[in-house]
Amino acid sequence: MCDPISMIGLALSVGMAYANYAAQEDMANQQQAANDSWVDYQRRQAADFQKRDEALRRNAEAARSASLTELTPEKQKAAQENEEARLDKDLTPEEVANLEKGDPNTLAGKMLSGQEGAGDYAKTNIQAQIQQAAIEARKRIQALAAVQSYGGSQFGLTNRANTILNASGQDIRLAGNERAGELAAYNVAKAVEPIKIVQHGGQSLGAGAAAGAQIAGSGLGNAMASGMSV
Amino acid sequence: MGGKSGPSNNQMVQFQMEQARKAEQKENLRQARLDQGKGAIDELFGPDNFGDEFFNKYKDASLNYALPQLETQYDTAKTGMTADLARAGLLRSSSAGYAQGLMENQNAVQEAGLRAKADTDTSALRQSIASQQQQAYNQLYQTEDPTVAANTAANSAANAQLTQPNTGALGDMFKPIAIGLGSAVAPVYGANAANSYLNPRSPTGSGSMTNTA
Repeated sequence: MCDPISMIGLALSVGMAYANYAAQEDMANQQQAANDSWVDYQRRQAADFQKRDEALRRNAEAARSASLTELTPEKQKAAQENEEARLDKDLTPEEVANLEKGDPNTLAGKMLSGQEGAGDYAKTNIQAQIQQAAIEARKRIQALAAVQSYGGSQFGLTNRANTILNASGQDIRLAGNERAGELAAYNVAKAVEPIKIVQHGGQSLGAGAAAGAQIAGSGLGNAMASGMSV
Repeated sequence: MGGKSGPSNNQMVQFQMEQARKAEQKENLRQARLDQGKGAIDELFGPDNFGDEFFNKYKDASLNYALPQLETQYDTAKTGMTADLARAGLLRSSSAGYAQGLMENQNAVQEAGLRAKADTDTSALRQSIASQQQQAYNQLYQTEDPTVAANTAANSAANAQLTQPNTGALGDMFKPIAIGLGSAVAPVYGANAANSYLNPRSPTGSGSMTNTA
């Protein structure tokens, strides 16, 4: 029959093996929980990052599309026409506008000293020539206003487009800079590792089970050997 | 007995998470500084300091300097022309109207040119202010310090307020209208008309007038 030492060794081996199994299961469960927690953390970080990044991207996109809206051919054409009208008014001296219209007082004011006594025919002739000169000058001024409105004037197309693109460019730049910062911060969070669970003393349990198994095996071997020798 | 399981790198993971939290906080603060700095720059370069009033003041100053010079030259040329016409005996003639028309045309076009120049100068000032604003933005992004950005913007704004319009003297704005010379206006009026205009009293003698412009 089996000797008691072998029985104890066998029981010890079984007990230790079970304890070892339970410890490993506990470690696996803890690791699973740690992994789940890590995945939750990373998911939260990714979601937060995506949310902030998307908001900033939308800011940039809003700035870009707003500037494009202001730079449509229709709006540019309207802006150019408005600027041309502004310049036409601004560049034309009031007196010239009155002369062009043939304002009698303004025309009379343009007569030279000594011409007061001229005959009506001569006066009319002189004033007609002055008016004609004003009409021709106005045509040149209108052409000047048209040319200026495309480029160099205060609200000409060049300045207007630059102003619009500068403003949107700064909003886009700010959003881009902040997105880069968000990404850098997110990368730090992304580098957070999961917790690693290890078994403390697991080896002694395994060793205990092995020792128990050795004792039981040794006892059983001896018993079998003595039985065979009879 | 032993066999208990537990985290082996808990301290390191906690440290990494703490670093992540700090990075996020730092980024939030950085963004707040950028927003604050951009707001300060936008305000300093905004309509309160650089609105139409500021630019109109510059343009008006430029015109107030240039237009009186033009007016003086106009008055001088007009006086000279009156005397020349009187000497030539053309003061009350259609020829005088022609000369006066030339002068009024020159005056109008020159004034419009000066006004256009004042406008383009003001336009350049606007571009200069916008460029300064860009520089202030650049400094903001380089330093991420709203105070530096605000100071830069304030200095730029102060310097821009000192910008002077062009104060150079105008050149001769009126081309002389020669009165009493040969019939150089023939190409414009045709020979017959020129003769009749230029020499109303004496087709072969004095009393001719021409535009040398």
